[in-house]
Amino acid sequence: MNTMKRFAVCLCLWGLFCSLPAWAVGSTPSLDDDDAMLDKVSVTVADPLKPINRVIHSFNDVVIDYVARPLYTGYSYVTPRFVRTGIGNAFHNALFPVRFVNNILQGKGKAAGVEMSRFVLNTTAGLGGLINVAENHKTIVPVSDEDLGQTFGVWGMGEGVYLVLPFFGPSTLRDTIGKVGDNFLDPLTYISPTGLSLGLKGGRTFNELDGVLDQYDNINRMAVEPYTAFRDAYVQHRRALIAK
Amino acid sequence: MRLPKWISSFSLAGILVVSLCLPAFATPAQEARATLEASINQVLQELNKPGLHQVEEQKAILQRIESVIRGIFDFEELSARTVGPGWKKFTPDQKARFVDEFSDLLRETYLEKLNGYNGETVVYKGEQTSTAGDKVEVLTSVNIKGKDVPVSYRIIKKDGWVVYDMVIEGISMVQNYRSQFQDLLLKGDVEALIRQVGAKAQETRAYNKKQQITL
Repeated sequence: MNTMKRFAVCLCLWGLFCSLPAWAVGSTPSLDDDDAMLDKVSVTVADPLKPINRVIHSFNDVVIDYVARPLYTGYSYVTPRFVRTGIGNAFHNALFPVRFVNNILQGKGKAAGVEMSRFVLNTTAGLGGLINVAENHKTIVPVSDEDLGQTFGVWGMGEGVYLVLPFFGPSTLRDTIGKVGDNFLDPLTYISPTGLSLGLKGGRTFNELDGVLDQYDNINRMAVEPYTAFRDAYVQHRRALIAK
Repeated sequence: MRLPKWISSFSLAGILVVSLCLPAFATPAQEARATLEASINQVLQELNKPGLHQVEEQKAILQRIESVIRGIFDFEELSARTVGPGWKKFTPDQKARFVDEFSDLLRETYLEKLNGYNGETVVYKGEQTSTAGDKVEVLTSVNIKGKDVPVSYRIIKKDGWVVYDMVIEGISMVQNYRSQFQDLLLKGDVEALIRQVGAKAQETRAYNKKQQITL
């Protein structure tokens, strides 16, 4: 009973947060609307936790520059690119349930079918996902990776407040809850002991660092005010994915 | 009655000439795309020259690229749009200095990106035109490290067609800078903003110098 009550309170709070950004529209306006930019103040996302977010943003900067980048540079020096790609493919293939279920939840039946055929082909002919056979298969069109945060967005939920997560970086309340939900669909969650499960997840994140570091550098090189640049880029990018 | 052969081939040539002149009466989408494509092709042509990585020829190549960039990007329009509502409060002198510093920053970032050029090609995916027909978005895709990155160019009709925004992976560059400049203008004044944009341009230039990309 008690748990039920707590759950209900959480749900209400979440609803409150998600209804917040009704006034927070304004990222990537259409061609017809972008002239309005010239005289309107734009709010991309609500950011009431800015002071804490900024601290975590700086913390992540330090983690990237002094831990992640040196480690990854060493890793990419000793492992050939095809090995890293293979590992990445296998991890990505194993995350099939997340993408499949979220396609279904968003009513994207065709994309779900594509994910299914990719999974079957890559798991069998692709040696358990190490080789992305489906990539060069003409009849299998590429689809973009769906997750629960996007599903919530498709269902019409707002982002809630902006959050910077330690190690994971920019997110929103909605996407963070989505991440927790997706975790249940992640096969690695069910590996025991817990140490191995967490280790594999860490390995997966680490193996993906190449793209993450590139994006991080791209934004930082251009940005005059990096904190705001990351916040806006994250929200714009997610909205574009949801609109797809 | 059969026409002599030379007449029919003459009319054929006539049709050919007329059809070649047609782009002059093309739709906004075609015009904008043709202008953009010509500029991109010029840049790619320069980038594919073998002298790009030789010190003596690099300077001339980069200068030609820069003049293409200056022709296709409208830095004043870009500045006005990124500053947004605050732009009206800038004095003409502040506007001029801001445009200078901001175009400097964009140019240096662009050059930094070109340094990583590795034979990538641009695929054109189509165009969207605004209701009034004065603006066109040209959708392209660039393959970077095995991944197709969507890049679209927002183009507006002035004397010719000029680019006023780029949208990369759904992220509008103008909107991104706008949110930054808005935050900075809340904290400081116009002069502080101009200084900060200038400082960032300097920083990127110093970085490029270290990587031996100079103009």
